[in-house]
Amino acid sequence: MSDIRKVVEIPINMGPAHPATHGVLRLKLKLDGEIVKEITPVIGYLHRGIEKIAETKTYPQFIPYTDRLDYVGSMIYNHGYVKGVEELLGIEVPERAEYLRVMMAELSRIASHLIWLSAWGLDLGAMAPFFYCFREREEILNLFEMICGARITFSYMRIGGVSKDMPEGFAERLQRFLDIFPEKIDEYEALLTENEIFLARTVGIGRLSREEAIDYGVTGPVARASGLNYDIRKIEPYSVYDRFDFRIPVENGCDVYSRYLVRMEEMRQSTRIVQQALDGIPEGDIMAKVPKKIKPPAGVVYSRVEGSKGEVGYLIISDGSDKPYRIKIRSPAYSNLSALPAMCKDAKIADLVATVGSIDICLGEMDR
Amino acid sequence: MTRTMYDSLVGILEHLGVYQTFQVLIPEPLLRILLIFLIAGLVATAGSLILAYLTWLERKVLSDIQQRCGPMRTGYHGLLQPIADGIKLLVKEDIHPKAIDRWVFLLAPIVMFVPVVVILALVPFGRTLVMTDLKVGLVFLLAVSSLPTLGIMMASWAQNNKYAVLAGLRRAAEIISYEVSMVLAAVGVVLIAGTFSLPGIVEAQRGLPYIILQPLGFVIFFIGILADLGRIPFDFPESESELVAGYNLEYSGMKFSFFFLAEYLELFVAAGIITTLYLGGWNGPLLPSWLWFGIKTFAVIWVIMWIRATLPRFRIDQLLDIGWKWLLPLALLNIAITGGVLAVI
Amino acid sequence: MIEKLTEKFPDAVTEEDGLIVVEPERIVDVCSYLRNNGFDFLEAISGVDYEDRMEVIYNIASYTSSERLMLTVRIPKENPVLPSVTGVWKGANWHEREAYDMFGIKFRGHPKLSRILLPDSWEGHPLLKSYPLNKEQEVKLEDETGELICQI
Repeated sequence: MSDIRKVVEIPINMGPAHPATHGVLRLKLKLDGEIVKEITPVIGYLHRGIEKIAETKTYPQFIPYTDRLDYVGSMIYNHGYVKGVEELLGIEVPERAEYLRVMMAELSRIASHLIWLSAWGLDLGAMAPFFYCFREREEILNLFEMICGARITFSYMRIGGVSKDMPEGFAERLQRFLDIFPEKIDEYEALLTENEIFLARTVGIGRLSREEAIDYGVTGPVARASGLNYDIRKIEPYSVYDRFDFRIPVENGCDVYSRYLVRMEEMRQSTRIVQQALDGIPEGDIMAKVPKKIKPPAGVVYSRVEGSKGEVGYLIISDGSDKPYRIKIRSPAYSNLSALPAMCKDAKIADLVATVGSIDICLGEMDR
Repeated sequence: MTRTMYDSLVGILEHLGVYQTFQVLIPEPLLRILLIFLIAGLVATAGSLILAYLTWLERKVLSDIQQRCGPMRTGYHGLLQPIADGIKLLVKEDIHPKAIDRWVFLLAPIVMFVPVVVILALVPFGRTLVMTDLKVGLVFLLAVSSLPTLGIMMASWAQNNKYAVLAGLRRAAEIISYEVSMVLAAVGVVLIAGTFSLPGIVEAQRGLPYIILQPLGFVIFFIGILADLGRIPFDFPESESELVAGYNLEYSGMKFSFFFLAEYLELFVAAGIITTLYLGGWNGPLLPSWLWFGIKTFAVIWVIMWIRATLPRFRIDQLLDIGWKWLLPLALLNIAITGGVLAVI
Repeated sequence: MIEKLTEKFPDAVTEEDGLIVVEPERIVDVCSYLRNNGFDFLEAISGVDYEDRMEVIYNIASYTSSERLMLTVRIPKENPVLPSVTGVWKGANWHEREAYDMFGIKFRGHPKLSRILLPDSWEGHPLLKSYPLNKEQEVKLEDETGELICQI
């Protein structure tokens, strides 16, 4: 009798091939029935040694590798890298290029949030948002294709500027997108925001208190949903972000639902930024005068930008040669995911799935 | 006047003048058995055709709601898609993992499929299209309709897979928490109709369909049916984002398709039962009775698909909560009200 | 803040052409002082391999202001050991594991210092400059105990 009553914890492997782990994340779980007693995230299945590769490439050659970090919002990763190298070189980027960068980074953020919403919707069993989101993302990718010829891995930003100017018809097409997009966000919200089942599945789930968020170094929408008003675009405005009027959404619910609300509002604010940038874009060059051979002086720089998942940082150490001595990539989802065990204390399996989804991980940038 | 399919068939054959010839040639009991087999075969064929095209319909309805085209390549608007799918599933390699419980693994798809076909025999498709008219039809139906769960649990156990076992446990927890309320909700219908026989219940709805007399019961029964079908928002046993594919995880080829077919047939049967119990079955003006039944059934199926396309999934403990804390008291209340009103009248 | 630090820890913190260099053994004290004085956000911990030494760089920022600091800790190559700051920030856990994985830097007092990005059976630490780039390795995926505890 005592044997039967003893609680047996089932060890179970979630991933690396599991539909809810968004790539190749593996979670070692110990289950007591439906309740998750212990979580050990195992990462590294997508490790390609990008930091090592960086040491063998010249500075411009490394730009395409930054695309492959977070392949759903790679404009921002381009931006963080070129900004760091420019800081090392002391280059002033032309204004028009900065405006283009901001526009592309914000569109990239919207695209990334759309992917997040669609995949997370599927995690919760809601199928419709997936197709709705991909419809709008398609248009963003078309815009990217128009401006740089690529849809996923852009390498659009170059040291000293951007690779191409807006082609003919781009501004009009972007304007059309900006006009319809807010309505589309309303459409997604109509499906989810006040849905009773959705609320039952998300409110109060995956709690990460403000203190814990600080403890784990959490950034991005996850931090902002835990009441931390932290966004590098506001706290340390880079590029031309200080010229635009936008709001940083902060929620105090600390749960999965708050992360959803924060991201929905962020998409709206990003639309506003793109609109202002499109209206105010100055004429001029898109590339600064950059030496043929890029050899930054010896030094250390830490360049950070606000990615769609949180703070993206590049620690670039130069020894004066044309190749970086060391590049360390600070990936936001890496820190955010390390807080997963704190978010899922005694959660149910379904809650675990919802929480992992809400962090918005991208294994490409976590494993590097 | 309702007639069983057997009587109808005999009537048709008599009308054609063949029945008498058969009577001469074949002894009476054997003829009876032959005819019954013929009817069963006809219904099973019709059923499988319907269920093949239900998969097509579901894909089309979902894709329409989700702003895409769905199958378009095989035939006009993908009309040949179900056949292509069927062939694909038939010729697919049937994989048996090493550590399975072999006999249970083999039996599970059959245990799941057979009860659904049995229920098909009870559904009154039209005034002259009743396969069997059991006196205890509704009781039999509710009893048999919980048997597929046994197939699911057998499957989940036999695969020797932890996700599948979890799915089986979920199913077991699920079924006891909603079946009770579902059965109690159906009691309201029986109280008014005064019979357990399904054609009898349909006949009793000549004037008013019971959805008007039993709105509460209808809602409870509908939720129960959704859970019984294991469809969104209650698709816990196979929630693909949590348990990968749940109870049919290690199945492949024809065995997998048996689960798949059973689910779609169950969808059709369940919609037929809702039509019979609450929407007045074949009753309706002008059009022939079987057409009315078809229209109502497919309307119910459409609503179920619509729900699947729009809603997220509940969590398993939330369904248990709903089942025990809301549906059960409400179902009891429904019986009390119905009984009270009937007593006063 | 740099002045405050050098004042508070005169024997542990020195400033060398723009870099804040911290004595390895005092890193925990410095970090907890920083955390209690506004620098509450640990951005990253990165290792660097130089010819004559190893460096561990701590990027520390604040959730409320734009101030940030870069602490450098120099440790000998032969014996790369320094105290862990997981007691100050729980988030340091994974960053330190990564530095261990890539450079073989050992963090004393870390709850579970194991490889994070590479498989446990990996040999060598790839971000060291001395790591042979053309070395092939077989990868075995086993659990810590060497046996398969989970079979699905």
